[in-house]
Amino acid sequence: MSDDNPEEAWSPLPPPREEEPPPEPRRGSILLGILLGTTALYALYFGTTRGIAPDEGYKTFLAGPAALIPIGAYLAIAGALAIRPRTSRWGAGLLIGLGVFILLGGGICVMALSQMSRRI
Amino acid sequence: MITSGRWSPTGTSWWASVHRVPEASNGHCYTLLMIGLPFAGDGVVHAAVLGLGIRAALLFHAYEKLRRGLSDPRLRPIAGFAVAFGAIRSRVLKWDVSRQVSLADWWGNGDRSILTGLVGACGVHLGKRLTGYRESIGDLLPPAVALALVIGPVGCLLTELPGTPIGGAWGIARTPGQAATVGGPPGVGFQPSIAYEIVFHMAAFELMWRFRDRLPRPGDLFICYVTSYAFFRFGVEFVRGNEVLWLGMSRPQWFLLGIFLLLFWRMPRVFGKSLRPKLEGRVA
Repeated sequence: MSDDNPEEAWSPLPPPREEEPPPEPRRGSILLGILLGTTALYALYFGTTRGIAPDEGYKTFLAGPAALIPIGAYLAIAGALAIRPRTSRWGAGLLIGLGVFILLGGGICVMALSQMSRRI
Repeated sequence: MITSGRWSPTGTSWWASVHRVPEASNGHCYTLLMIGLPFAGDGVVHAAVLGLGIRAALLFHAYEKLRRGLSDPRLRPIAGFAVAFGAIRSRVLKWDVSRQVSLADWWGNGDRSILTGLVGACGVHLGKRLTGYRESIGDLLPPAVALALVIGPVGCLLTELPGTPIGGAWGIARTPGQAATVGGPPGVGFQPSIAYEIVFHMAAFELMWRFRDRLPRPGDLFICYVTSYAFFRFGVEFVRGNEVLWLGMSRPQWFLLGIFLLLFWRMPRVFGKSLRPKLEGRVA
């Protein structure tokens, strides 16, 4: 004899399912991360975002190997934010912002340093 | 050779100009087609167009994720790692220590290389390892990268030294004023090597658009794209105007010779199997 309840088998209602945990709230925005990250890096390395123009020159208090410390710290923080699910949007945006800063850089691809080394 | 006076010392004329120039030796005329460098050394134009390329790549990447039905949130940080470490590679591996500029200047204003940014996907591997994502995303990124490299280098084409002197009756030329800014002799036609690259990436994007769901294994698209670009770039380096390092070959060519060994090892896996049939609708 079966223990099945025939009424339950023919019930039009779907079987009750376990409650799924609500998705974690999305925090941050990729776009905002890109904008903030790029702006912060330009401010740090060029004084202002006008530094994108090569004739504006290079304005930073960083010298020698210290120039790379902020980038290392930025990369570590952005990476840590990116791999945490709650903050992954922020982190991804900051990482992309770092890429944008490097690729856009100060001026064009091959000219700025050539001019500098000619002046030295 | 330009005798018509279009290239005045302070002139900024940059449009295509066709000249009938008399040949001194035989008195015959020949046609001289020169395209000027419209924004020589203008970093703002360069960055604006490059920024458009990056933006287009990010949008296309988002579209491809949707099309493939990929909704894993870990793909976001992986894309971030890919962009950040690609950019870092493009700067670090292009470092020319012989120029003797400060570390800060180099980091802020240093050269960037498409080649070193593209070859080797350490950012993607790091992102996948840190997030625990196992699937291959080698088919997801290349079309977006190609799109960025169609649009972004237009900024280079408008602002930079294009390539080697042609010595013929056509090419990209600079006014004397521009030549003083970016170097090189004025009025001489130079190879539009960056335009060649743009055309290559356009063709690559078209092919990837058509075959992106049909290669035998996940990740093959990336291998095909990088391999074809490596071969193309090796050839175009001969007219690119980069400094010759040794045996008539530039630094990127020597770098590519090392990369070829890796690519020769990877390519048989792609062409060892037939294409997948074309799928309709979404692909996983």
